[in-house]
Amino acid sequence: MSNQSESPNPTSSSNKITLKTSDNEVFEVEEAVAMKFCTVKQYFDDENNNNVTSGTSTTLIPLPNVESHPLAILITYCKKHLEIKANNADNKKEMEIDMEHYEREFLKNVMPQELTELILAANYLNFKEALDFFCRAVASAIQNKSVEYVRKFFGLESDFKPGEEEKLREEFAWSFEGVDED
Amino acid sequence: MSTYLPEEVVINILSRLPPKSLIRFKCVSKTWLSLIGTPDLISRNLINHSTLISKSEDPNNPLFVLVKATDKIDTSKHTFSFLSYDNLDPEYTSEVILNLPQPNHGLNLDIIGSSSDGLLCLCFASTIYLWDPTTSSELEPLPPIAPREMVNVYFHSVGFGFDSVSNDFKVVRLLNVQFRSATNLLHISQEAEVYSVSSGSWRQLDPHVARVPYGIHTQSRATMYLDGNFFWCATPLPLDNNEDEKIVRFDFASEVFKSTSFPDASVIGDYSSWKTTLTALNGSIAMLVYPFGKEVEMLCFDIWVLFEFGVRESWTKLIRIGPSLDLERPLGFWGYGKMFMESKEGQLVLYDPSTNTGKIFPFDGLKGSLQVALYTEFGETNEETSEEDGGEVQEEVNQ
Repeated sequence: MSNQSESPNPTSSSNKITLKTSDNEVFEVEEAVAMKFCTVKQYFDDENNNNVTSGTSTTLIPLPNVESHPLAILITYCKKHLEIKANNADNKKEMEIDMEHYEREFLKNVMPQELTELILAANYLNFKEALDFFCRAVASAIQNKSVEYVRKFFGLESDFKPGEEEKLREEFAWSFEGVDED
Repeated sequence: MSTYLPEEVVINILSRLPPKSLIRFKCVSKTWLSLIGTPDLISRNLINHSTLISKSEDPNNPLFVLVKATDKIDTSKHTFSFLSYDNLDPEYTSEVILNLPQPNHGLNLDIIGSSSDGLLCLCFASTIYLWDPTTSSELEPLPPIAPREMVNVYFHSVGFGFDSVSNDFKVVRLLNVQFRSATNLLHISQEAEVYSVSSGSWRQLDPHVARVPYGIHTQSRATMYLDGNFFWCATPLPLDNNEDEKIVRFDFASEVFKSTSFPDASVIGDYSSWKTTLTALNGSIAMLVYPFGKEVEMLCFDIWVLFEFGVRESWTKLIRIGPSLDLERPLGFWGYGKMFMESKEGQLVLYDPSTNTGKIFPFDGLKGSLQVALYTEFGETNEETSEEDGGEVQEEVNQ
């Protein structure tokens, strides 16, 4: 938990930080968890620099771009991430295996459409491990899907002029073979 | 759901997709079309990235890179050096002395492939050897081509690989058979024979069932191995106008040949005459096309990838690499987008296309003799896994 060494109170791991979401839910999380969210960490560090004397235990950080639903999931993911890391501090391979196992289980409980919501939250919070994990998950979810499925998934519309798309489809017809059903 | 993902997130997702998906998703929208890009531009391009670099951290990487060099003075002496795949440190060297009937210029001892239990398949002229580099420095040849009455049989190519159905390693050789009929007409046909390591003998394939290719000449050093299949570059015999240049594949499990034509010669490019090298690249078939001839002073070459074997339209041209003054011959890819090359002085160079720089390795052999292959593991030294995984021969990268 390298982040703690940079925080103003390195000896205590039980410091709590309060996060407030856009839908006015309040989450109290351990400092170690909150520090994985780089956006929170930045805010936290700035606050402390500006106000050296203030007590850290009362910090409340507003997150106007994050709703409670994805934040709750991200906090769970982050806790587990830190736990697996701590349990396998001296064995990187074991850590990767445990993490992979957890992530596989995690995805069983997440709807593909939920992933975009989680990605936006992880992106705003600048939580890199989670963002990469969700991007990997989306990539494997869409890898064998049709163009139509992908448009729907990302909420995109075709903006090709008439004929342009047909031409591309003709040129790359082989890449449309063996696509899964939507 | 009307979520809008920022561009850098979309790129993060797309950069994890295989090339085939990327090519299909060009049709999603104009933005995606330009994000995914055109592969023959060297600038940040997702198809290049996906094909060249993204799977470099594959945990199934082989353990060794095998470098073969032939001695400059005594051409019957060949050195096989095993470098650690991860850091390219030398780990093991083996020297082989072949007693050749006559010093033969222009003929090379070629590495055809390697098995997961440490066996190497080598070929010199028409003689094929299976060799375990840990046990002996002597080469034992496989049974030669049986002579036939009134018929001339010429060896023309060889492949080596794993048959996952019978769980056996096999060698395949293609033969040209010539005989004169009663009316003195010359008949030429092509036959194929398979040697299985477990049986220790050759058997002939039915040319119709196996669809043995006819009227072609395979280039002995433009070969590669990938997932139970061996590939050769093949050119038509001079008198055969019905054939074109193609890649021929042999599937060791079904024992059937299949071929895919080269991309259109007019697309291949502006080289008046060119040579090809085949190499496996992140699970795809890559062909390096480079100019050939005396007037060529600086080497540059195009990377073409055949994403779907059997589908000629799936040939995709990636970047052009070079030009470089010192390099002469591509040998094969390592990882991280870097590749092995032979320099004009016959040295082994690890070349990084993204920086146009090379690192020289101290393998100084007869020019044109350098070969690089991937080697899974030594049969003796690693007993834990070699027994049960019996599985995959790593792709060979050679010219």
